[in-house]
Amino acid sequence: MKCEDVLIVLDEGRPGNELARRAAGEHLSSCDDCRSAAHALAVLKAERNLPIDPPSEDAFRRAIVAAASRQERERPRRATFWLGVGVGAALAASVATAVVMLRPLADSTGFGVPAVTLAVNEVRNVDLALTAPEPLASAEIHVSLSGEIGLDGFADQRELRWTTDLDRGVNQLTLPIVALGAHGGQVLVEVRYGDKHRTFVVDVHAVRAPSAHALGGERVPTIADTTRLDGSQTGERLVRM
Amino acid sequence: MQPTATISAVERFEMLVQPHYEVLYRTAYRLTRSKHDAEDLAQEVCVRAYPRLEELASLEQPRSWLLRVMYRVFIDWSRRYERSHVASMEVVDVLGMASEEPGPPELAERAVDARNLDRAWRRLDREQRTLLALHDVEGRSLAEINEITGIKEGTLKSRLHRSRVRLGKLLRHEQQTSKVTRLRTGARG
Repeated sequence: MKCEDVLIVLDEGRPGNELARRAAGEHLSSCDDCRSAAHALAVLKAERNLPIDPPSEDAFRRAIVAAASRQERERPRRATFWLGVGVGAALAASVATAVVMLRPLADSTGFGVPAVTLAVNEVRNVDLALTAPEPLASAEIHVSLSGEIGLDGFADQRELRWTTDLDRGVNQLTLPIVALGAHGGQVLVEVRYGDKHRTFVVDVHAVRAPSAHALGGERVPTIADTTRLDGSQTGERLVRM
Repeated sequence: MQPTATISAVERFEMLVQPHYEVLYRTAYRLTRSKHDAEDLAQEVCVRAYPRLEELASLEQPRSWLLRVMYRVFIDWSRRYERSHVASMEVVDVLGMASEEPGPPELAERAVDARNLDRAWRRLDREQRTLLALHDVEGRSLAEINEITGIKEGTLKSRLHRSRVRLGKLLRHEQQTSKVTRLRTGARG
């Protein structure tokens, strides 16, 4: 009997095939490889009955968002890879070098603080520009919110996470931010590629009155480069969700 | 494209994939033995499948198709990911050993077995993991695995055997190592 047939015979245990089972048993007792295989099979079959960690509640939703985002991003001549086109606070980050560059994408205010001011309940598309010095395959993007802000169209979701390829140069991500209360909040964007890890915070200020002109021009000294390289640096404004 | 058209495509995709997400996640979990990685893998399947929405919609058996996509993604998963994952597994192991508390010997033994299996599993190649996860854990037939992987059944049989032999030997090695570790640390079990 061939080794690869032994466990099949023993495992399937077809009735009326006692001779084959006996031969398989004899083979097993004298074949070290087959005993190893039998041990592995027993361990794995036991696994079958063990519960597994369920997925996160929003895992499926995040997967759908990631799928749609990738499609949008790869569409030719499309400027953004998320919803809509808008201009707001902007930042650029190089995820593959140790130096973080902050560079306004529009509203050229020089090297300033990424902050945006909205009226309560106002939705504003905020563009984030991630600058990569080279194509980065399967970079991980993690967006999380804190405070009284939300993502328009994403109900109560406070976090989005997906994997995407970043092109060389500027990769634009548009987030439809909505101010839910007067206290505003923060958007945290984390980009991870291999062992490199960058985290950026964009402050969102909110005002009660309609704010038609407060777009991205404010300079609030709160830029938080929460870069962590080899876990050695952690900015003080890292928001833990 | 108008926003309404985009939303419609997303919703359509969501409706097509949602009935299979549980199987996708579970299979991904069996392959990776990690919740985080399973979510990532299932997500990557969605990312790859989305541009092929029309093809997906035309299928009678979208589940097998999605699992085929998962197989290819898993096999092609970058070396970078593999290395980072191995590192994170080691952290988990260290934490597990450091926080071991007195408890029923069976629970401690099971935790050690799970760790041994984790470690041995990482040392299998991806195809071996796929065959063992699909056949021995998930209980899929060779015919189903043939449909997912495209590998002929005869070949599957011999590769499955070799995969089991390798895993069995790796487990034996891990068990011996963990016994030595427990003797040194005086851990229960």
